[in-house]
Amino acid sequence: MFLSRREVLKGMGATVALPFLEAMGRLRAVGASAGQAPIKLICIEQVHGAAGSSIFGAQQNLWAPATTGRTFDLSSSSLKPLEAWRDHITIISNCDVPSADPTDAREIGGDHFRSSATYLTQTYPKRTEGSDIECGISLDQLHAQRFGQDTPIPSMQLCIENVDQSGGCGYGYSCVYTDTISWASPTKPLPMIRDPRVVFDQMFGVLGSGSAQERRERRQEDLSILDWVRESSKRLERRLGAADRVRLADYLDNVREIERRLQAVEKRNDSGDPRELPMAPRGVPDSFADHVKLMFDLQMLAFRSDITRVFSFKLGRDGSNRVYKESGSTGAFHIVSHHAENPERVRELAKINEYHVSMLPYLLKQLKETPDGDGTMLDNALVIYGSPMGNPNQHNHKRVPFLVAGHAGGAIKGGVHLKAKNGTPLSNVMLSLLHTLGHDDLQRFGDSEGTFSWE
Amino acid sequence: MIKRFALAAALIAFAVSASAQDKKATTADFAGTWNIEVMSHQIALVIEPAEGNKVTATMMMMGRDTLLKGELVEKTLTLVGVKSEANGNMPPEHGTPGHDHDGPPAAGAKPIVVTLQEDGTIAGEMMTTGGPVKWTGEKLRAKKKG
Repeated sequence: MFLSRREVLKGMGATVALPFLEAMGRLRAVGASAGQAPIKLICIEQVHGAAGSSIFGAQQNLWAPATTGRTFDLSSSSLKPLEAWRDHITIISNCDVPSADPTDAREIGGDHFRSSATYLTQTYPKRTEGSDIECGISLDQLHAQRFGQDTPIPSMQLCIENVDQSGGCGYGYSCVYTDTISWASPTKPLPMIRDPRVVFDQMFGVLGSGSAQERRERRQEDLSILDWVRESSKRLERRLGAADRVRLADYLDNVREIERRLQAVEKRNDSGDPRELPMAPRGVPDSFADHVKLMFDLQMLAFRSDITRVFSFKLGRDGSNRVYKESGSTGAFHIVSHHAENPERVRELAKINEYHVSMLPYLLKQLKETPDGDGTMLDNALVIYGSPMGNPNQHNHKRVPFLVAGHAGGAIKGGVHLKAKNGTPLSNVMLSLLHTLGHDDLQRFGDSEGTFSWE
Repeated sequence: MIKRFALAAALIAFAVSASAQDKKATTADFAGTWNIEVMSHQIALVIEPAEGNKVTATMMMMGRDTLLKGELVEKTLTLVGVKSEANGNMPPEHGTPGHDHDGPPAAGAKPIVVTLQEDGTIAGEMMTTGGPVKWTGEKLRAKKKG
């Protein structure tokens, strides 16, 4: 039986976004061949650079492995958690982000306040605290504007830490430069969402899940969005084949499970018990890992139901002094990042870097286990992970940590460490990534000087 | 023959080295905007040549400007803070380089010693509340914005 997506949505009361079902026929993206699913893009920023970007850290291979090519060794690196995923990652080392460097005396020392703005734009941000902000269009938005129009939401921007500050943040820079990594145009930064509940409501509200009042009532009564569509989903199930019924049931279970976790977090945060993050919205878990995993789950849900194919995800805020006890470091992040080149303290920062990287396998596993086109979602995903800062002790932007995971529809083989020539701007790599995403006609990105070879 | 060649090469190398070492620094060598790294923080030091072997300078940190003046002796530049309104919490415009550097040295001001290194960087020592600290500095390279 063939059902159009419209029929399927009608069957569910147009309330809940659905996973791709065989009954809908094969989905084909613009420019994609039969069986090839559209590329899913996630751009993740780790703030405060990496321990491996310091001289001692580079000597000890705390980020970039000692050898290039396919036989790289991750045992000493903060990338160790990716060992099981080595065939699916491409490490690109020794690149710089010159657009984040100071250009005059007033900008010296202000790196934390402009760094994030440069990450996905690779463009110098104008120093201003006023409304005349200016940077560049970001990689994720270039992609969303061109290829994200087939989905209900072209792109989503998520974050883990507080980013809604206003006015100037320091050294004459507007806070928007610190608050977001996504820029729809040189003058239009996009806000990032910290609260998983807001992400969930945006994703499932987009196709009409009742009014704000109804959503509020549902939350108060701990009801599930699925309770509202139980009858219609049963009707739909009867029209589906066996495989699709399993797929639909798994998907709805997944939606329910995420919703249950959201409700548990909200319940705990409303309980009056002390919170580690008292100022955070009620949907934000105290635990960094829980928060990141919830955000990854929501991203996967969006991919499975084709709500959007483009995410940017900011793991922290520059200058953050969050303590990541699970990393083995008890120091405050920003303070630890100013390690004074002391080997012991550099290693402490490496632990935090490793902890952040250790979040990635949770996402990669789900991508690998999700069928997509003729392969898996990992085959068709491009996960960008890095930082626009290099050695945070010096606030420099040299030898920045950077890797990509996934195969971008076969364009990126993976399983390799590529070391760029000294002085290579990261924008060259990003230009080549945009080419692999289908932006073949793009000649330049940010301050790029050329392309980067994947060989 | 080989020995004679090696000796000549050694003499030339020594002469070049001695010449480089003997080369006296001028205030122009220090002129420009320097990115100073001190105690894991970055500070801007803008140095402008003045009359003879004298310079004026402005140290900028977190929106606060400190006006300095100094003198070059051999390869070492010694800067001292200037008693001036602009050394308070004046807005940055009031502390623009070259402005109001002619006051007397601030009472109790500790000198900042700056030396030019062979690789074109500068290094030195300054007094902080925690005692003397060493620092290094790189010249800010001109870069096209945008």
